[in-house]
Amino acid sequence: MPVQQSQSILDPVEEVETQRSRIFVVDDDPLVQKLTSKILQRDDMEFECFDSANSALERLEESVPDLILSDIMMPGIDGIEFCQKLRQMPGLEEVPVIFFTGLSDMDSLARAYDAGASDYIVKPLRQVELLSRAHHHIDDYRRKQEAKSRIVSLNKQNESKTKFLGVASHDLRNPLVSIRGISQYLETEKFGPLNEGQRELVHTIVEASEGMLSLVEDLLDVSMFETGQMRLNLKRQPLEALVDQAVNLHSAAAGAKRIALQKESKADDSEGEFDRKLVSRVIDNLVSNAIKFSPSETTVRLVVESDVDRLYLKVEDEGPGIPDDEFDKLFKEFGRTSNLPTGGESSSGIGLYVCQRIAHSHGGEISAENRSSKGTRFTVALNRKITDE
Amino acid sequence: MNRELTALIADDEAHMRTFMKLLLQDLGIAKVYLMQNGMDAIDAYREYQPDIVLLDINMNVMNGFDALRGIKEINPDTIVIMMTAVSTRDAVEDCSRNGASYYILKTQPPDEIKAHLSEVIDKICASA
Repeated sequence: MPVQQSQSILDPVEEVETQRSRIFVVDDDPLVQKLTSKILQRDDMEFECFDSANSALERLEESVPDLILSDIMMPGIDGIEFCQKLRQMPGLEEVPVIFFTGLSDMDSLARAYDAGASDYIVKPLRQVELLSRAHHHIDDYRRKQEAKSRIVSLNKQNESKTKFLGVASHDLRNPLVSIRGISQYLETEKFGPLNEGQRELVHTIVEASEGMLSLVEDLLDVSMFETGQMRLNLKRQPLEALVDQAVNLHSAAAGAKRIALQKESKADDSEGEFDRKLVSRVIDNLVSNAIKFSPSETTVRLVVESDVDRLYLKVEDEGPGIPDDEFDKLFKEFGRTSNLPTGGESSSGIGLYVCQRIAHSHGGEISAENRSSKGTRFTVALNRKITDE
Repeated sequence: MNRELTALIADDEAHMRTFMKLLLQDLGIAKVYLMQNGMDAIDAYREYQPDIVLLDINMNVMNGFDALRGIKEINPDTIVIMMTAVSTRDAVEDCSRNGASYYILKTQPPDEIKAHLSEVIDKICASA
């Protein structure tokens, strides 16, 4: 399908408003109104004056200014109540409000700030002070508004990125399944014997498609979690069975690097309620990581433990351990530590992030620590029973 | 085995047809008919009366569930296996509600798919 040229990929960033500032002045004293007007006029600002908080509130229903200047002591609704009221109105939560105060009502300043005031100016008003405070608060307000709208637009873009990720991974999955399956068939030599070179090539295709398939599955899970479409298929089953399965699945890869893969069960009963496919993915990711980052002639141990409420799986390796200052990267999306795979394998940095999402979706946790002897220990804790999410 | 079994695969992705055909042939299925959509699958079923039918769910022209119903109308006893890329409970329930005998997950490791198909074939042979 041809790409639509007219649509830009990113939303245009909203332009900073360059229009004149609009200010509401609320004061029952006509002299103050007059003086304020004069100062604002000289600075080419747009403004509206109100004799009472009530009339200002009425006007605020239909129009939002960039700044409100208000007296505190006024008949009827005073400045503080006025401020409390307008803060409840939609769109006015952040508009700066500056109070005029006399030296006599300095005491009410604390209440004014509690009501949501931004600043105050002591009367008598001086032009320099009024304008500099007004400009400061207006600029600040506009910057905040701009940042807010940028966050909204970035969130939208992130959402469509996630959706795209999901669609792309989904469509990539089936062809990968076939490539893997068909090349595995070639490898069995049922279609005739392969020579040494051909066997190596076919094996490369098998390994590459397996790696890519697991990456695509991880990406698909991320997108399902982030778009809220992930639903758990919970069944009561023994965790140990999944661990056995993982040991079987990874023994060849471990063997190729002369790494021993051992299971140890310290649990009498490893039954719990969880999604088999997802928890298998956690175990697969942890075991393949352990193999990936371990030197040869070492052991990777999978330990199953349990107590009354929880099941624990520990994956322990004898690798280099995680650098102390890099623990925070571990469970981040695409976070990679400076450790390198020992057999030239590739690493996308998405695996542990997916593990964490899966553990959390089950009300469980995943953590990592360096063992005192050597290597790293990852611990997954799962609740035996999942209570309401 | 009294006679040689035949199978019909309907999937709109050519690589999937090839892959599934490999699996079936490896399990000793003598003849595998390949179709690209549900409509053609029903026509082919009428003509060849295969022992097993494998249907992809998402296909153009006619999807797998409609084809499943069409084939069951011709012969309610047909063994139909649905193929899906997603293992959601909804998808699985849809399969059984529409009268499918089994379902397989395309993303399962080939050995697991094969084991699953092998069980089905053994049952057909046992009942024949």
